Amino acid sequence: MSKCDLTITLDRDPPHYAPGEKVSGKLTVGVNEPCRCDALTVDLLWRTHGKGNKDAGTPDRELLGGFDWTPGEMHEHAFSFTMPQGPVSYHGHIVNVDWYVEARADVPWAIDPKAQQDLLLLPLPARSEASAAYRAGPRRVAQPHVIGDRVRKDSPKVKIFVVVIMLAFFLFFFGSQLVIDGSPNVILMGFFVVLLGFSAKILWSDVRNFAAKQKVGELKIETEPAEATRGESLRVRAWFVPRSEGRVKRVWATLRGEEVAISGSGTNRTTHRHKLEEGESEMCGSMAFVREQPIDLSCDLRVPDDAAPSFRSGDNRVEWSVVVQVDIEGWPDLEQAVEIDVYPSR
Amino acid sequence: MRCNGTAPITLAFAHLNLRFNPFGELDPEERARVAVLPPLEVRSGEVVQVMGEAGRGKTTHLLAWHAATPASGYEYVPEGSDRLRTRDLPTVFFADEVQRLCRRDLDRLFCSVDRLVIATHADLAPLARRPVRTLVLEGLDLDKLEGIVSRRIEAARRGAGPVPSLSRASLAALIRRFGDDLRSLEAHLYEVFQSLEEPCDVEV
Repeated sequence: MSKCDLTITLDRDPPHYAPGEKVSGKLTVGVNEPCRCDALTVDLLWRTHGKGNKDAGTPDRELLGGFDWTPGEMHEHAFSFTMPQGPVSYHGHIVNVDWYVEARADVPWAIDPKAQQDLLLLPLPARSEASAAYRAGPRRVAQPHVIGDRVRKDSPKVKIFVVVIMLAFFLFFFGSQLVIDGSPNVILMGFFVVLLGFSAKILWSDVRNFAAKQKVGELKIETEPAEATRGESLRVRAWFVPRSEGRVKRVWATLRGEEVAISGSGTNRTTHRHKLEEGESEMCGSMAFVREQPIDLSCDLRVPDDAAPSFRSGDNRVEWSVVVQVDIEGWPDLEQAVEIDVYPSR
Repeated sequence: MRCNGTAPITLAFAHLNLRFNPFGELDPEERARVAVLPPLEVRSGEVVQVMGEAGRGKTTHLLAWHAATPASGYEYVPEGSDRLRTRDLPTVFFADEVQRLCRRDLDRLFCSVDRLVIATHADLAPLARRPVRTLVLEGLDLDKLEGIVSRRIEAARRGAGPVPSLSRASLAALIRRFGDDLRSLEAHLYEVFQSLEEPCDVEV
């Protein structure tokens, strides 16, 4: 039995809250033994759980004070917080975000007694609207919470550089031993083939895109608005200036969502991925293109009303991107993506 | 909210009377709390070397023993590092992934710590120049797995009432399939628990 027991009671059942609403309740302390508490605190915090290492944020804390408690006493302390805009509660497959009110008594030379009560921060209902291109005028936008920095991805140049260095390193040290006395060294040859296959896997999409760009040039993508909201239509514009003549079979845009969770550390560090629902829209069907004549395409993609809001913390993310794919006749396809943020509501 | 469904109307895993998926990633403090492991006694001047393949619980053992040993220290040597960050080594110390340490810091560890427990992938006994007891983590029996699974589920329990459980027949099937690879076993149970709709006897 601990020196004291903490119990949290929220004043709402079920404990569902919207951004900006007040969370209030009481913390009850039942004292079992003489107990000095240096600090009694109540935190409003979010925490992730699932496949990834746990991330947490504590947007608000209430310090209730220090106390000297005697056995048999029962104390009640009221607390209240205002729920922030986000991150909203999310229960996905490998990433979950939940909100908690957590109380802790800092008791010297003892395990700190704790209590926890979970609650839901629910997004405001999504409003179905046309994309900004069709809006009559500007509108007020609620202050969204900061989603966090995007993860930097290696550019194709960096990946090519790494692969070239890796292969050069191998050939420098083992190249002379690949063939001994006119017969191949089977083990080293096998290792070299595996290394080549690994390199091809790393670079496959870059090599394919590089080949496609020789035909259709650079593909530029723009979304309007740049940050999407659930239930909203997103105008996607893609354009390119072909470098030679040819024909596309089809060009289409896909709204792609993914949960990413990283578990472990060091050699045990593992990245888990779970795909969310995809939405697709065609930008054009079979069409010929000629050199230096710009092609400008667009389509609307609807962000589902129940789309998972974008979320980024240390080891847990929900990411969205718009991917445009160009199916070129008799040529490798071109695939390019732009990341977008999906907000729960405005 | 659900990934492709509607906004959540219940607290996480409330339908299973749990607060989270018991087989998801735990932080070190939680892992130590739910660990099922034998008590460890380290004599003065002794080194205990814990060895085993990846996923067999070396880190969990060290974390749990460290949590149960007052005034002890713990350090995990991350990948890419060969230095010990702890400057003043206590008399009881737990060090994880020590095969990564440079010879100088290994010597410091072996010379400065009275009761030392290390987890390593390589046998470091020849370098210790003091008595080394080696514990190899391998094999998983039904009782131990039952303890691990039930502790994990209990740690996630939301309130009184039924929670999902695994019969000994299901646990035996898991051992047949995964052997002593606890990490793969937990990854499988994570998926099973994601798909459960109510507290029940879980089929694996």
